[in-house]
Amino acid sequence: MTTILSAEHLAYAAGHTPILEDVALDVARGQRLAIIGPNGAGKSTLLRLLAGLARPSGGAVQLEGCDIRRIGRQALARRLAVLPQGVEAPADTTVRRLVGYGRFPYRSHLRAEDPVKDREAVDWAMQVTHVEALQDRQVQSLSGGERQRAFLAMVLAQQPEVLLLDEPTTYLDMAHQLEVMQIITAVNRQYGVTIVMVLHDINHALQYADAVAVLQGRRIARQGRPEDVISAKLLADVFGVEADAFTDREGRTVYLPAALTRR
Amino acid sequence: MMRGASSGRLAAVFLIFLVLAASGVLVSLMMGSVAIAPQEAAAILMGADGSTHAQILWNIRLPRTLVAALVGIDLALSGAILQAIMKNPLADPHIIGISSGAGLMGILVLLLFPEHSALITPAAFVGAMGAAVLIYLLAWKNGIQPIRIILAGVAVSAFLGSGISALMILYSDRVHNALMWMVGGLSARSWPHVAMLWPYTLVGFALAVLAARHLNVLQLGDAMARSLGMRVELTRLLLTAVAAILAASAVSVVGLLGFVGLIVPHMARLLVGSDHRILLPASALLGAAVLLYSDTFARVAFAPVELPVGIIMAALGAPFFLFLLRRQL
Repeated sequence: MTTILSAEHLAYAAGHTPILEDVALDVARGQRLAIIGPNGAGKSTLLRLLAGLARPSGGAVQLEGCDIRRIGRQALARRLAVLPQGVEAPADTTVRRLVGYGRFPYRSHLRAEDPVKDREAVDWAMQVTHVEALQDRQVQSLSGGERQRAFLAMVLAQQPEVLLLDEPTTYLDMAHQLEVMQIITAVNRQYGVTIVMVLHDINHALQYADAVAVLQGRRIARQGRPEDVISAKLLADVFGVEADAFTDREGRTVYLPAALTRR
Repeated sequence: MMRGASSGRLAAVFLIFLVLAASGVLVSLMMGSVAIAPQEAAAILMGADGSTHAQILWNIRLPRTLVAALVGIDLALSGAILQAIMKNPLADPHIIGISSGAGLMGILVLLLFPEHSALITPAAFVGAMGAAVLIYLLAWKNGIQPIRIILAGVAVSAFLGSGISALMILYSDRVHNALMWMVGGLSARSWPHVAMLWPYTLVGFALAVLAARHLNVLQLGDAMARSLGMRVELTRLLLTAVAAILAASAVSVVGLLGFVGLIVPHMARLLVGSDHRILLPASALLGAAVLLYSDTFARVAFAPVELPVGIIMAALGAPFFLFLLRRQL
């Protein structure tokens, strides 16, 4: 397995308050990596650092061995895409126009480099995320799930090698959560896009990730296969919950939090 | 990528805007202390005779009409750009103090180097840009927040405005028609003013339309724009410069005319939507139309007294500002 995205000694401070310290992370090409951890552990900050949206106070993020700060913004946007939480677009933006913004990195000197390729990429992204039928609808008329898929299509239109997602299923009902996770899996399996996602649902990490990194106490406490890393003991140590273990239909162990441990 | 019914509707709206602007030109040419019939106006424009009407049309009405249209375009575009890059529905070159910066520097050149009138607009641009940077610096705190921009702008505007007032009073012998200039008016604007305006309007319009996609992507927020490969700070700085060029050229010719840049982009947005590739040209047309009609009204309504058009714009604009304030913040 070759490493595509990595961080070493990564640190970030907000003013004088350290948020992350000496973070080491290794993402293999073609992998789905889930970042989990309690609220306030710095998951979103880590994702922003990995995307080059925040400047680390120490260490570096490397894309195939090259410091991302040395890759130009536009060149980086063609290889690495990120969907932050709570992105909004003007209410009257149509889905097709929104997805078209994903082609912004492929414009140079104020013009499109290859309009045909742009259209193909937009069509592909809408097809993968099942929003083709919605392409003329305005974002204000979409449900939460449809909206999330439209934004997912926008970042997929970037045709990235690595896709970073910040809690992609937040605020969605169970069916839409499942749909989004299936789309992410399809993008990964069929098109080889490496996925790094912050997840708040431990069971999603068990079901949909190839690797999981646990962020705790400003650093990555553990990284490994989900079934090796996630255990009742980890949930007690990291999240402070006592969880009951169940076996799902595919034989995986999943967890239901039952009680708070004494803190 | 417009399609189907919506592109038909857009074409219709554009046609209406075009008709509004064209009829605004016509009305502005015809109406005034001397009424000139449309056929006569057309005849004069085709081949000028030496009549009094021809004199009025060529030397007074036509240049003033062109100045009104150009200033309307400039201020509308400047407001549309500022609203987009400051993520602020209330941004307008006048409200946030960019016009005051332009005015202060323009007046300074006017007073100190009255023989170099070509320097007025460049100086006004420097003032406008300075004011804009000052507003950013004052309002910046973990990113841009709409309400802080407005408050910083009000402060900057008051500060620079006091400088303008002081200059006007200290040099009242040298500043003609100061009151007209303070509220913004088109009185006695003529061909030299057209010549001062049109190159800036042309360049500003071209740059604005070229940057329309950037403005669109900026609406997704700084983080998303950055992750789509935009150099956000640089883009915002360059677009601020374009807005400052447009505002400065308008201020240099008509003074501190407010609210055009606030009202027009909102009206246009309601009718054509938020895609800047369409919104900017629509705002330009509508800006020309609004100022042409307002100025004609200001000239004719209280004849023989002529009101500065700035009074009309403020009377329309201030309630509109309050309406936006209640709805959006």
